[in-house]
Amino acid sequence: MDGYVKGNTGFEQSVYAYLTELQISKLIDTLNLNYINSKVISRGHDVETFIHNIEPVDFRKHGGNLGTSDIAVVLDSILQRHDKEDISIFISDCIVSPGKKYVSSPQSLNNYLLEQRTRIKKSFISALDKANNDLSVVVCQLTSLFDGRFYNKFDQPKYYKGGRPFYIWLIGSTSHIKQLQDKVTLEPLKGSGAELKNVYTLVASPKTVDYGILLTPRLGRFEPDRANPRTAIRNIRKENRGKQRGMFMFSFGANLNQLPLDESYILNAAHYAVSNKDYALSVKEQRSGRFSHIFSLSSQIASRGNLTIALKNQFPQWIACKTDSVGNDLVKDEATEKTYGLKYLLEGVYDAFTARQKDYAVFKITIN
Amino acid sequence: MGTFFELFLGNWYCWFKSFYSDYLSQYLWGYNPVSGAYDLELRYNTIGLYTLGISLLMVILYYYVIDHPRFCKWWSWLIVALVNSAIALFVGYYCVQSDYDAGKIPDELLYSRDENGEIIQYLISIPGECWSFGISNMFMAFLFFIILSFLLHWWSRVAKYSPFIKF
Repeated sequence: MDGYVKGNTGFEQSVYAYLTELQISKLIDTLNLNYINSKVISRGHDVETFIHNIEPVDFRKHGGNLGTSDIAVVLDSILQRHDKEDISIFISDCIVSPGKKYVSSPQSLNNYLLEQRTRIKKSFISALDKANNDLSVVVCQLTSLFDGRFYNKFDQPKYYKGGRPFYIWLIGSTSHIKQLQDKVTLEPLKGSGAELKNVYTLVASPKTVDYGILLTPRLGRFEPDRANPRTAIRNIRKENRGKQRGMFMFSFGANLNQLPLDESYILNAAHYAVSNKDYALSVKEQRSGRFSHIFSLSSQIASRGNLTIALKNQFPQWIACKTDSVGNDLVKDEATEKTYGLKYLLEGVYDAFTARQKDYAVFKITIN
Repeated sequence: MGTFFELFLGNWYCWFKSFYSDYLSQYLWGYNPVSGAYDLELRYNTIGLYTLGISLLMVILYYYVIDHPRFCKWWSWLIVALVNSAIALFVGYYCVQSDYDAGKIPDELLYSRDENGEIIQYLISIPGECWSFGISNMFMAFLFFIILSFLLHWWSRVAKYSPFIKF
C-alpha cells in the first residue's frame, strides 16, 4: 500500500473525507482505526492523526509483517472481530500475493487463487451465520495516484507511478449499511482526488421485501383476488381499445428502499428473472406513496398461473474486466487499471451470499 | 356460506358494473390500496340494504297502504316501480358523492400519479360516476321491487294480482 500513501494523495484525501463524513453524520459512536498486515495494529480514534500519519515510514514503524497481504486472512480477521452493531470498513489494494514460493511452480498459482476464493467463502459463510443472515457488503472500486514500488504476484518489486485501483469494503448488518448509505453517500469519495469507478453490493436479509398488487398502472382489466388481494389477481382481460389493444398489463409495488442496493441496479430490468416468459417486466421508481418501486408486467398472451419475479444477485461484469489475470508487469500486461486475483476474492464473497440467499428479493404473483 | 351472503349484493351490483369504472367498483367492494386488502366497509352491502329497504317500503306502500282498485293496473305498479328506481338513482348518487366529499375514497383509487406524486390521470370521475352508480342502483331497485312484489303481493286485499291480469 506504500505507493498510495506517499505524500498527500487522492487515496488519503478520499479516506479522510469519507471518515470525517461518518463522524459528522453522528451515525457512529466510536471510530476504531487500525492498520492490518500480518496483525491488527490499533491506531486510535482520531481520523486526522490517522490520516496524517499514513506514510510508508509509519507503516514500517508499527511493525507486523509488511510483506504479508493474504487478503483471505485479513478479511477473516475483520469478520472475526465484527460485531452485529459494527460497521467494518476495510481499505485495501486487494491484490492477491501468492509470493516468491510460486516462482518455481507457476502452475500452482491457479490453485492458490481458488484456495483464496474458498477461504473467503468459508469466512463469509461463518459471518452470515453469526449475523443470522443479516449482513451486507459494499465493495467500492476507486482509483488514486500510486507512486512507489509495485509488487507483482511473485513479490518482485518494480517502480510504478500512475493511477491504480484500490477498494473500500463496507461490512455490516443490512439495516446499518442502508442507513450508512442514506446518511453518508459515496460522494465524498469522488471529489477528493480519488475516483469512484464501480460498486458491488451483496445483501443478505432475513426480512422479506414488502410488496403488493396495484390497480394502476395497467392495460386491460383485472381484479385483485379477494382470497389473497396482495399477491393474486383474477378475471384478467386484455385492453380492447386504442393503440395498446390486445395487450394486458398489471403492476405491483415493492419496498426495495430497505435494501442497500444502487438505484441503477434496481431499475435495470435485466437484473430480474421472470418465471413466465410471456410477461415483460419494467421497473420505475416511485417517490411518493406506499411503495418505493413500481413493477409492470405486460403480455400479449395474458397467460394465467403462478409468476415469480426475482431480483437477482448478479455477479458484475466489471469485476472480470478489472481483474489482472497475468499479475507480472502492470505496464507490459496493460493491467494498470486492474487488480490481480480480484475476481477470485469477490467470487468467494458472492458464493457465500448466494449459498445462503440466491436472490436479493423474490415476488410471487398468482394470476387466476 | 358467510362469504356467499356477504358478497351476494355486491355480485348483483356487478351485473350493472359497466356503467362505472373498476376503481369505483373496487372502492364499493371495500378494497383498501394502502393495506392491499378488502378491509374497508363493503359499500355494496350498505347501499344495497338502503335500496332494498326503500324498495320494501314502496312495495308495502303500493300493496298495503294505497291498495285501491283504481291503482291495480299494471301501469300503476310500473309508476311506483319507476318512482322507487328514481329514488334509488339519487340514493346511489348521494352515497358515492358523500363518500367522496368525506374523503373516504382512497387516493390511490381516485388518481393515477407519476413517480413525483403528480396526478396524471383521474381514475374515478366525480360527479359523473356518482350518477353512473346511481343508474346501476336504479336497475337494482327495479329488480328489488319486482322480487318483493312477487313475494308480498299475495296478502294485499285489492291489488293482490297487480301487476298481472287476473285470469
